[in-house]
Amino acid sequence: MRHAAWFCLLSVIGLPASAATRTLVVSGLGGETKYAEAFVAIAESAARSARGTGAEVTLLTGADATRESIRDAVGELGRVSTKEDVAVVHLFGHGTYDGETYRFNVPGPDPTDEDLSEWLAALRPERQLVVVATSASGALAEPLQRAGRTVIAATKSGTEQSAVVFGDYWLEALRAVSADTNKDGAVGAAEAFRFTSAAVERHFEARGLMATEHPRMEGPESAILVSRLEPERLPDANARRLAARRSEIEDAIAGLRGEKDAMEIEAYFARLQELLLELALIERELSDGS
Amino acid sequence: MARSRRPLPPSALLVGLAVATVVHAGAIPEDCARLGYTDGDASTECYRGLLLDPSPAVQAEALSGLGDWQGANRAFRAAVSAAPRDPEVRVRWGRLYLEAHQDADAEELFHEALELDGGHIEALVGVAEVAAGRFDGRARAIANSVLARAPDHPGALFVLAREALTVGDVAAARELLRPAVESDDPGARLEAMALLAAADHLQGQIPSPWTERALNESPHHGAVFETIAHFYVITRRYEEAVAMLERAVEVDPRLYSAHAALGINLLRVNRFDDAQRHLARSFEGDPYDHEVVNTLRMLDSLHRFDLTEKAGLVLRTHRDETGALEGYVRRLVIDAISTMGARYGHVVEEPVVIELYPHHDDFAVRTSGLPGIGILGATFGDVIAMDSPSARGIDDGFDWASALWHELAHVVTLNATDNLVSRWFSEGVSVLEEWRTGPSRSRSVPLEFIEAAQAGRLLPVEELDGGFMQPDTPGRVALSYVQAGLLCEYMEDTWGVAALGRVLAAYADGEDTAGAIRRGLDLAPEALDEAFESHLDTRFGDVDPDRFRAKVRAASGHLKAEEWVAASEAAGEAATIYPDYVGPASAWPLVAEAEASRGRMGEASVALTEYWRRGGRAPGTLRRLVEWLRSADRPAEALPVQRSLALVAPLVPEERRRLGDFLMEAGQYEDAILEYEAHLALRPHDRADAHYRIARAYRGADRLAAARRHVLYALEIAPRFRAALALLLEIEG
Repeated sequence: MRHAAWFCLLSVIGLPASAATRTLVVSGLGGETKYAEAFVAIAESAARSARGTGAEVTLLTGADATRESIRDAVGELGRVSTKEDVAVVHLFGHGTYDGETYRFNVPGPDPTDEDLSEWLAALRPERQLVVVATSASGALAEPLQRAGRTVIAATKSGTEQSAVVFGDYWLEALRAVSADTNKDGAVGAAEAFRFTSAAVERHFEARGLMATEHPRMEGPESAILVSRLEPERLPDANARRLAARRSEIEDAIAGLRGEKDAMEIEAYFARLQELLLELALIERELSDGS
Repeated sequence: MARSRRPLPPSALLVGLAVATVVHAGAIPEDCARLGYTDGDASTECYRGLLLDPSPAVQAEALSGLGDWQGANRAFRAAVSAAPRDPEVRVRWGRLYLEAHQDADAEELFHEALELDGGHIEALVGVAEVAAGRFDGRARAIANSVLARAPDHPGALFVLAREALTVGDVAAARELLRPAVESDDPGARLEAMALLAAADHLQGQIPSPWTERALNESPHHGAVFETIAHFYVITRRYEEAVAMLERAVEVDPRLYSAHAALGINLLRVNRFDDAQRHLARSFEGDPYDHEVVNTLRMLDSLHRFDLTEKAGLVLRTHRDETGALEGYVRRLVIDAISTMGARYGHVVEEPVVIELYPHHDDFAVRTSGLPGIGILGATFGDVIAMDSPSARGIDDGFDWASALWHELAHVVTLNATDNLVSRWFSEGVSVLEEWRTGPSRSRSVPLEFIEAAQAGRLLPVEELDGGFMQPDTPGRVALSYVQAGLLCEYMEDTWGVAALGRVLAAYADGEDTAGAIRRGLDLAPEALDEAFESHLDTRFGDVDPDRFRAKVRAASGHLKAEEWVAASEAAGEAATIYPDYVGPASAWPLVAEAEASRGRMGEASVALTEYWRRGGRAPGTLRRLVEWLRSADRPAEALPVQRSLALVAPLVPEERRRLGDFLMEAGQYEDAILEYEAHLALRPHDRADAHYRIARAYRGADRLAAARRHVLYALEIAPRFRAALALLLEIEG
């Protein structure tokens, strides 16, 4: 798609030139075959989507996803990352909670909430995202919190222990155009979370079932990309100039939105329209040049 | 049924107990009750005196008389323990439960008494009263059995008199009440006077001399007005009922049952603030009335509702649903009032008030105390209360738009006759309009009705009101709706729609059913019954419900076994036996499934199109039909099906958006705007996209200012939204 050519570059503007996104994706034990296969498929798809955003990805599935290998992979993530980098960890599978301890089910000994908390504490990036798409994952929401880290869990607490559908809809969010609510051609973590939450709610409503999972997101509103819907292309000098101007206009729009309540509504929309028309012309020029 | 006992506040009881003296030495509870009709204070003193009686049964009566129902309940329990073989105590205890609005518990105690003494008269009367309170036709039989052994028993006579008044047989009621009005028992006399006053009001003899006589005997006997109001309520004359209940609480401000009834009926005439006041007053005095508690709860929830008043419609909807429903409701009201106005020669001038409740319990409290109300909706003059589509969906058999159409027909018939139309005719016209002019037009007569007709179990037209008001079997109300609808349909087909208008006009002039039929059709009711029976025989005589069910079962079995040809044949035969049946076990979707499985998509689409044309509205089935038609590149045929789908599932954002998309393709921009705005009101996940679609629809309709505003809304959320940016440039030229 021609229009996509320049549109996605802004998503990386703002990060230091050396910043990298490093992602670990793990699928745990499925128990039944259908779950095992589903978890692996979701993990592989999430890994593919992460690669599409330019992230460096480590994928652990099946027999490779043991407590030790997860510990080592997180440790490696910690060693190679800088504080400017972005660290992302996805856990898909079953989790349990006995009232005190959360366990992520893997072959052999299960990592606990304490293990995960301790291992993740060694990560240096100031921006982190941890997605735990397992039953009982709400039990991790508090223990894993720290400054700069967004934690997304499939359930509100450890007591929601039924197998979750969160992972299926998270996967859908990584592919759905309607998940991209800011229309920047990519899906950020918060966008994916909101899409998934709404889909989970509809899932239970449509079947007339009592909802057995209530997803939650803790920590900063995260724009960390989890999927790119349109491919990234390298811009030329003119496109970079236009994109920079577009960025300025977007900042101006954000500022204007902040002043909306204090402004006369007609004046607000007049100014908004002015800015958007310039943005539209830039967009057209970018499209024509791609 | 008026229950006029007045519980005292607990503080009054404590004071009473502290100073109780045996003022009325040797009194029995009946003496104290008797005093209550003329001197409330003396009655209270009398009951207080009885608190010192050693018998727990007497103490229980005294506590009950003083309004301490919890204490009375404990005392009755002790009395039953002390005399477990005495049916009398159980009956008295049962009456306490009746006072406390716990009819099921009362009935249980009456039955326990009957187990001890199968012929216990008061127990039988208690059972009859409970049945009558539920508008259960068995009340009459029980009361008659009492009279066979005790010919002048006032309780049984009152049950029968009430039953007679309920179906408008005023002469019979007067005859029944004649002995009681001369009774030595003031309670019986006053009850008889109240019922006679109600009889006068039902016949338009106002003011009734019986009202004055009752007040002369007992100046604070507000129950006389409460009784009159009851019969206004069940004949749907709510303004008149309210006026009577206002008199009742004026005469006796502590008549909490009248405050309760007044509150509930003020809601039916759209006076919510006054209703709240009287319901609160009732609750203060009698916290045991669950109808009052539930209604107050419903009123508490109204702060989450929008009240929209525009051009002939007052709409009360939950704020989460207003945006999605208002457009459809407005269109349905306008269409219904004009369509039926033309058919029946009566235009409703007053604004129609429509309340849509997302919680069924909130709707249910609005219908309390009314006989034969279906679970779909209720009309109180110009006020319609019903479940919103979120309370129950089409999968539960709730076609809300057809239900609203049905209720709007009631508005027309009630309005045209100043509420004098008979119950069966009003229901019949409403059902007919659902079938003939409504949004779904399903004429799917239930198999149970066909069986009842074939077995000769239908009611003569002159007794059809009783099918709603005093059903003799649990299924009678449902049968009566269909019978009334078919009867009106038959009348229209035979004599023309003008005949229905003439019948309506006759009711407006105060005719009863026999008179209205004679005037409207120039026919005796018996002749109509005969002709209608013959018509039903012609129409349904060949329909074999058992064979239909067997074929449907066979088709389902073949489908399960993936025997597509056999499934198609069996389902096809079922469809031939009864093509109009589009209920849950309709044959058409089975035909479609079998044909689709054979890869014969054309035949499958034809089957589902038949299902849709005959009023089938299961969303999953319609969705499939839309997909098939679209896949076959037949968008023009898919569009009306998608319209039906969005109408039956108006709160499903995807259906509204999809309809909007189809309407855009068809260039029907104004309708697309309505759909897209409803989609946005349902808070879709992607709001920028929702605004963008609205903007496109406005652009198509050449309404550029609105288009510009919505594209700005979209871009305000998502400034990089390329399609919206392009649309903005297009709008700005």
